[in-house]
Amino acid sequence: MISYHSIYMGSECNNACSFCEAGQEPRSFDLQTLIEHVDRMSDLQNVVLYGGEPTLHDDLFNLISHLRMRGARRIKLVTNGRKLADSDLVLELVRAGCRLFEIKVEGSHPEMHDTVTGRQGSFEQTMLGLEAVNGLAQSEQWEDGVFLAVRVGIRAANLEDLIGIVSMLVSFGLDRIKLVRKGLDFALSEGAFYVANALRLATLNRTWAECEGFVPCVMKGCERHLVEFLAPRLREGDKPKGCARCDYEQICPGPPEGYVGRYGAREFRAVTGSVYIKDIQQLRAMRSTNG
Amino acid sequence: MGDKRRVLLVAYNAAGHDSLALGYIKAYALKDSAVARKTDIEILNFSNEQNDVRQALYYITDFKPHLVGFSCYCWSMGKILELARSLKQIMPEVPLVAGGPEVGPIAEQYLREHLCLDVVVHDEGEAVFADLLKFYLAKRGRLASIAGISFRDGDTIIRNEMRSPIQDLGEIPSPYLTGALIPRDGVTYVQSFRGCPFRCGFCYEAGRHKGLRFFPYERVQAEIELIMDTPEIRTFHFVDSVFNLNATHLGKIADLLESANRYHTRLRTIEVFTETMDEHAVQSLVRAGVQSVETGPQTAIVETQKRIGRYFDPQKFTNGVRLMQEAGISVWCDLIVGLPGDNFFRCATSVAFVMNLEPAHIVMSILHVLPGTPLFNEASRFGLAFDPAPPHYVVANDTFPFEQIYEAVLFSASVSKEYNLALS
Repeated sequence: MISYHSIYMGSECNNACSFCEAGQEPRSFDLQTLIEHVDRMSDLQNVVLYGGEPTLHDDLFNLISHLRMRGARRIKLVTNGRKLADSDLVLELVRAGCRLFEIKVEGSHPEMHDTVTGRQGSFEQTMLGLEAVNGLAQSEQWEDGVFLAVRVGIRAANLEDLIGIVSMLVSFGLDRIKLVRKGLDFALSEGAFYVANALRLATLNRTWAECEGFVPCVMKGCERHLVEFLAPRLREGDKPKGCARCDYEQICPGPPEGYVGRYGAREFRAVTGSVYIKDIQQLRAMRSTNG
Repeated sequence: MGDKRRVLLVAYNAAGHDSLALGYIKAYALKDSAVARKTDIEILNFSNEQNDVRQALYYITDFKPHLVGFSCYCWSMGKILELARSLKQIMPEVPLVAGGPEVGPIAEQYLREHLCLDVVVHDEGEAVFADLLKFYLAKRGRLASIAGISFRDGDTIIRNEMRSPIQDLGEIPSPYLTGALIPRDGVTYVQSFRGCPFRCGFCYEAGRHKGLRFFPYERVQAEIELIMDTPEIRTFHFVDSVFNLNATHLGKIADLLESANRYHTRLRTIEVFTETMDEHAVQSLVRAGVQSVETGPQTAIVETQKRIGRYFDPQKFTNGVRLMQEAGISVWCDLIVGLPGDNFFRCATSVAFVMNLEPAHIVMSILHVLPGTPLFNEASRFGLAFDPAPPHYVVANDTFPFEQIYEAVLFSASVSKEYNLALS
């Protein structure tokens, strides 16, 4: 629910995910460019650093230091976690003021994860990274001082592995699991079954989990886990005509652009008689009062 | 210790706190010169989180008390009962007396279900405990004639008449001025009045006697001067239900604190009513040395607030928080998950409301349906289901089914942790 300023640090990455263009022509922004970018921003309380892979950037610590000087209070790192296998680096980051980590996990086992990342051994390193951050987060000294989330990118290839991924993740003391739809290679209604089960499994194991990139009419029963409801953004997708009759029409961004052309609109059913709508509208209004 | 009778008062406290209540009990009991002469009363403070029941048992078996009293709250009852059960096994002759908000409103139930307890005090404990000491240690009077208790008489449980609260709080000696408690940094507490002007459905105070009773200002002044004259005490607490009760009271207390403050002592986490906070009141807080305050709104849903009998004005609350923040006071906002009238998304709305105010800290808790509170007494009206055993966590209510409460707890824990770890 907290809004963050995003800072793209460049495309350099030690993974080579098939769907991602980041690693193809690696280029990192130099510190001066990043600082100029930061200095143009107002209200820098909450900042998320992403790439590429931000831990590869030579000036990561200099940037964090500058952000702290500019008043950043929550600095989040979205990372594949491989470099975080070095627990000294994790401690150094936390001490520098980077207290929030969102580690990207693509599969529950090396075959799945490494296939997506295009790098053999990346799964093992990412798991070591998770363990290193988790170890610090669970330590007495940093209790409640380090926030650890995992972001799972959902594609057709790992849909059936979602339960396995979440089963593995709940053994960590994670603060959040985010299941984020990536690309258009599966129908939303096909993914909904797996996502709903994964959300239930995480919840059963006392880990808060939410999903992004799904629409409420295909995620019935999981409304409380939809990022689109909890932290709505101004994003318009590709709404079929029938959506005009839906209770969530004003709130739901609809399926992603290009989706209907590929899969049709038959899976989308206007929701009527929602017991949540007034409360979700109230939540939305409350969030918009402060941007 | 010689031939003196030994009385032990035991509390399992929330993290970082000691028991003020037991200090009052001891100070009042020692008013009686015979008791003071013939009795050693010792207070045993344990951490509810860190200390084990067997540590207390070890100490108590060595101390060999003639009477043990327990200060009972919802969070500590499990440990107290475990301790009481074991004590009864190894010292069956020692009377065990329980008092405090967890047991008082359901005294007979506790006596019925827990054979280890001999007496349960209904409400305010000072005068009742003094009478119990006379009965048990000096064999004066009869249990049946001590108002304000229920007790076990063989297989029967007897409930005596209620005892009116002490009207003149000046009758209760100050625990600090009498030496019953020694002021220490961070665990020293001042109370200037008892009672609460509000009737919030979840709060124990709402189910108690109405009206406010004040300690004499001269006595509060003497306590403050003693505490603030101790350089080692950097911070202490006020435990008044509402620190800014009204402009006159706040002004007087601020005057006392301001004039006594020689070593830049600060007040921590005092409870304030934010809606009435204006610039004058905030200036009084600053003069009083208030470092941080704890306040509602518990929920930002006006409909829910009305249902639980709590006054809430979002705009006035917002303005009050801003005024305190502008004066450099750290504001902690409290939210309760599980109130009747709320649901998952309303809970999320409350989190969003509070985040918009940018408090220093968001404190989330799950509703405890506490004995004696309006929510406890009228549970069926709210469709409230809750664990009858302490800490009485809510299970569901007529607007908030269990699965939503469970998810709201996970959600709010995640979001509030993300919020609270902000660096300064």
